[in-house]
Amino acid sequence: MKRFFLILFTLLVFNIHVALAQKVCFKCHPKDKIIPGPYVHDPIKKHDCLKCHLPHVSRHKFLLRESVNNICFTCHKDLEKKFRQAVYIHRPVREKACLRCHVPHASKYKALLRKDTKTTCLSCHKELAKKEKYLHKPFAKGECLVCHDPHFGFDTRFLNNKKPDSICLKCHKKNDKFLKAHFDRKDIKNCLSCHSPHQSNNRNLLRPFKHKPFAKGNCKVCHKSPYKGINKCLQCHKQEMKTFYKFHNHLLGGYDKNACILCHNPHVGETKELLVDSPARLCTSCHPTAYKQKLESLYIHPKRNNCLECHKAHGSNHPAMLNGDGNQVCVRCHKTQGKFTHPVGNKVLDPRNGQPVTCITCHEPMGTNFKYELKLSGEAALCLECHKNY
Amino acid sequence: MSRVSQELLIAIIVFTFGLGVCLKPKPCQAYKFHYLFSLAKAPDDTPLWQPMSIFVQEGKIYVVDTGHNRLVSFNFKGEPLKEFDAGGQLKGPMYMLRDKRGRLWLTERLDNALVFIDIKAHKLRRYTLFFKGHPVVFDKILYWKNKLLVLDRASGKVLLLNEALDMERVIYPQIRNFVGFFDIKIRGDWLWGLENMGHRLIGINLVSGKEKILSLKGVHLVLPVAFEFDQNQNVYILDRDLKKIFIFDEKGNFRYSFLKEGFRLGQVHYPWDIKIYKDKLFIVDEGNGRIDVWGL
Repeated sequence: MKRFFLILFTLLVFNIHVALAQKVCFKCHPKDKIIPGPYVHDPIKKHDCLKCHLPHVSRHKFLLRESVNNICFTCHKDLEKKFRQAVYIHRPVREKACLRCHVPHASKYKALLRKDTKTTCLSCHKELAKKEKYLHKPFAKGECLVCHDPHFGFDTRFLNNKKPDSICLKCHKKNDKFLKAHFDRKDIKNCLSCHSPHQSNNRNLLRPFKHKPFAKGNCKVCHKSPYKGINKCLQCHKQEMKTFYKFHNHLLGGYDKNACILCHNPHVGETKELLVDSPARLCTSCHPTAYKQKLESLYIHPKRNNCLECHKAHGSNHPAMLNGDGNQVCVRCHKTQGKFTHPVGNKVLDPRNGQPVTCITCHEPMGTNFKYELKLSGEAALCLECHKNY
Repeated sequence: MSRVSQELLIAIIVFTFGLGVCLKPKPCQAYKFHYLFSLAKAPDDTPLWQPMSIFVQEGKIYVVDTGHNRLVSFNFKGEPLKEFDAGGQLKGPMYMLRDKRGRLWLTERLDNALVFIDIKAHKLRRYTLFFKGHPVVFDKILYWKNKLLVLDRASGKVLLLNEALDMERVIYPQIRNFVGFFDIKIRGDWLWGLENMGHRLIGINLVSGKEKILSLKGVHLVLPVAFEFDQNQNVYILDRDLKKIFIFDEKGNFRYSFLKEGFRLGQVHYPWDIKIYKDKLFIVDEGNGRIDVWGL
């Protein structure tokens, strides 16, 4: 019995202390300034300022108990767990910069966002701000979170469902209108390969580039073709087969199914090559290490998002399916580097492996942590790899 | 010690010994290879350039030096012996084999041809073949009972050809979602294949037609390009993207991995193929232009 009263007494003292604490805080930090909106952070609601702050001294800014980057995770354990496991993490989350989107005390907006969802998202994703003729309803209303997860994702798009089609079909029911638009095909899938999820200048949000027969409405060319599989494509694009006769190629097996449509859309596409997705996303779907390298690198090549700037998609005689050897691929843009630079070429051999020195002997355009995308520090470490007596 | 205790002790010893015999671990320990030397230069002292494969026979190692359109032979000490380019006629050779009569069969990529070379008779012939109306894209090539097994890169299927190059059979597993082989190896009458971007090896018995699937578990492979077995049935998978060799046991469970990315000896840049011959592991490194030889 004595023990019970002791516990009761301790709790009472603690509660009084908390109540007093909040009263003391609000003496100097007026409540109306701290809590400006209807959405209030839970600790504030409970007047528990000490959950995040220390009253006297702290090593961290704002007298926080932990650094700004870690304080949120002390309560939001579920996010921390996902943070450790997820591959695709939204950049602000990865950088633990929660305050880039959220405010810590109270907000006018749900989820304690700084601004409304659309403004918050578009503050970084500026490329989406341009206006095209037709807008997807959730996009027009700024309801980005209907489709996206702001923290983690299943791919680089941070969609909130592993199957993108399921997101679309939540709103777009397979009714008569839907089936009529899709030629009564019930097995229709991969909506995003034909439709833009945000905006388009074409009706039905169709992607901008059209396959010639599709644009002319000449469906028979492919759909009534006597050929099967890859032959459907080769009947017109015969010359393309030779582009695969390279040491390395993307011939990924199978005449039974049409391997071309692994990467290309036979109707419409976002690029003139009618790819089913942007090159960066399409390529990283099979080459995830490229995405990981980008995330982990401080310096990356400015054109890195368009893989096809430097890599061949069908076939190449060079490692990594580059668009030329380690020099040719760079000097197409970096013209002076081909003439005035560290000696390169067949007569200059790398002492480590006896191979000709090229631009990519020292640079790694896919991304590194050293300036100019050098493979090691340009101060000395990189040079000392070969120039031992330097 | 009483007689009962003695008997009990003997019984325990016998039981423990019996248990030890019954549960004796199988000799499935994966080999621990270490770097020995590299094959990097031809007899004329020129470095290899984009070597893509090797073929080992009669104490010689034949390297297909694809970038230089030539074949270079080495002995097992790593000394270059001869180079051969068929009078400058080779065009992007990728894989080769020597048949029982010492004749060479090569697959070429730039002209997409199967090349037959009889050195003694000074004969070189190029063949193109068609499968289901498509030109066969010649890739890996193996020899089995006086017949050629050629992997068609485009279909991902294996073509069984006789010496007259008649297509006797098309070999592929009768399983759903098969997306083609990327690498093939022969072990007795079993043809084993590594599936494209896949995490499984598929074995097909060329005599009985039986099939086996070995799913590789415990590690996420990114770009598996070649595989090999050791004497203890362990599977070695070369991942070009991760620049590592992953070792799995006979049930497909991941055991360990080794190799490191780099330019120095024993490191790999763009590895393409592996081969185990007796107690040696050969790693064909296209990026570093050499074949690293690892031994026990």
